[in-house]
Amino acid sequence: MEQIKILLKNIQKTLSLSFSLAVAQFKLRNEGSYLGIFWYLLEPLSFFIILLFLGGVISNNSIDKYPLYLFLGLIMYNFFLAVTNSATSVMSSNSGFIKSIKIKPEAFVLANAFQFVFSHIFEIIIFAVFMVFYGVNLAFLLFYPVIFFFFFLFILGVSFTLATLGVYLIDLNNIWQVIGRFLFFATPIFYLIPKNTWFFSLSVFNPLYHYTSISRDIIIYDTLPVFRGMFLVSIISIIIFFAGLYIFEKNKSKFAEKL
Amino acid sequence: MIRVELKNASKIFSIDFRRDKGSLARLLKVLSGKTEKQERVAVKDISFTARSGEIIGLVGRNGAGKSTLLKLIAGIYETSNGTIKTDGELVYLTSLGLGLMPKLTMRENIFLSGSILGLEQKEVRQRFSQIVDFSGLHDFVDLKVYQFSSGMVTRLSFSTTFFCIKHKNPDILLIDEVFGTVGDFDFERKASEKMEELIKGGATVVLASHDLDTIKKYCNRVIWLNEGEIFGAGNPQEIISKYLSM
Repeated sequence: MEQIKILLKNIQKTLSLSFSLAVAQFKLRNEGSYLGIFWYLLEPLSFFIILLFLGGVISNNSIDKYPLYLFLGLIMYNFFLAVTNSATSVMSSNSGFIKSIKIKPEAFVLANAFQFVFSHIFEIIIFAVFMVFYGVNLAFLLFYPVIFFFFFLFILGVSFTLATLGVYLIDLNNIWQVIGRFLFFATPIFYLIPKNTWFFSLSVFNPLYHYTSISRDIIIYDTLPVFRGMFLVSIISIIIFFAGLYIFEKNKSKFAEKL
Repeated sequence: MIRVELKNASKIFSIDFRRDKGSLARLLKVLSGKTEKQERVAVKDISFTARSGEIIGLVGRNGAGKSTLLKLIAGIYETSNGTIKTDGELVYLTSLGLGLMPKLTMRENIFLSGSILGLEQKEVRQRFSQIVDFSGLHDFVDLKVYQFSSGMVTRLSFSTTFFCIKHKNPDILLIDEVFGTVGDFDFERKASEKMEELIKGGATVVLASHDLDTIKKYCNRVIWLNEGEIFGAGNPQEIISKYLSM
């Protein structure tokens, strides 16, 4: 009982430190910039417009409510990529702390992820505006925090793994960017995978596919969450999270001397 | 009560390849089977114990292993051989102003540094006015730190670090070269009084310094490190005069 209490206290302390670090990093990112947080929206919005144009004009697709389909996929993918990309170098950029103070290094990985949650909230607000514009029932957006919770766990698991690898491989960041580009095309963000094809069967192994398709089904197409799908997604998330955390915990004592 | 116990603690750093080499270069090196492996023994077979209230000084030339030893005790590094046991809340203090963000205001920096030093936000809030009072920077609380003079930065970082550590009330305090000039004469006097308060506050202190007067003034016992090994230990006066005559 006493041990559980100590564990909970430690988790609370780490979360509180992560939150303070995330707020500081978020403030620093916007410091001195004229448009501040609007920069975060400008980037996905401009990319959204390009893809919308390509999707509408060139492929003449038949996806229902395509702009919403595209935007939701895009902001979820962007969130994943932004967090994991910066997780590859999060340990080396905080090496000053890790080498000279007794601090929980998990806090840096968490803080890195939290700071992008702030900008993701703004993107979701824009998405809600789009939903109103296209006449979609906003009520189903209330399911998003639940999906996001599991999505976030999954991203944290990947981040912990990447942060650990990043200590040993200095150019992991470049490798991850290539993988990120590959994942962008492998995940149905701006297209729909035709069912009963080999690509469809392969996508079952892409976790990003599950998160985006469940979110779209529920939020845009107003289908109530299917128990089987949600169960699968939550299991993937929990496994990936604990696997990543395990790798990190196993290696963290060597970080101070390797960095 | 024994607070720190080291038994044959050693630290060997392996310098197998340069960190700045890319993955491809490393992979080729591994595949070619020509992995150069170099080892550097930073700390070798160190054993000692420290009881509550004891103040131990560490002396030795640059590269003697003082900082590595403190980092081993702090748990920042893992020992390669031997064991280290510590009992109680431990604080390792190496530099003032760690993590100070010049683009944030003094207020934001105090809260951030507090969190980094392991305090919760409400605990920092309790200490906030003391920190500001001691630093004497009342009029600049909402000014960004990059607009501060270096003396002001020192005042801020000393005050924040001191009050946060005092709040934690550590049982073991490891100090790595944190003495020296901390601003103008007036502040320096105030700061050294506070430092004395911290050292004599009843915690087990291990103090590494090149300032031998400080060591003489505070320590009950001195350990002299040379090339990672204990070269001498005992009475401060005696060890220091031997150290100086080397």
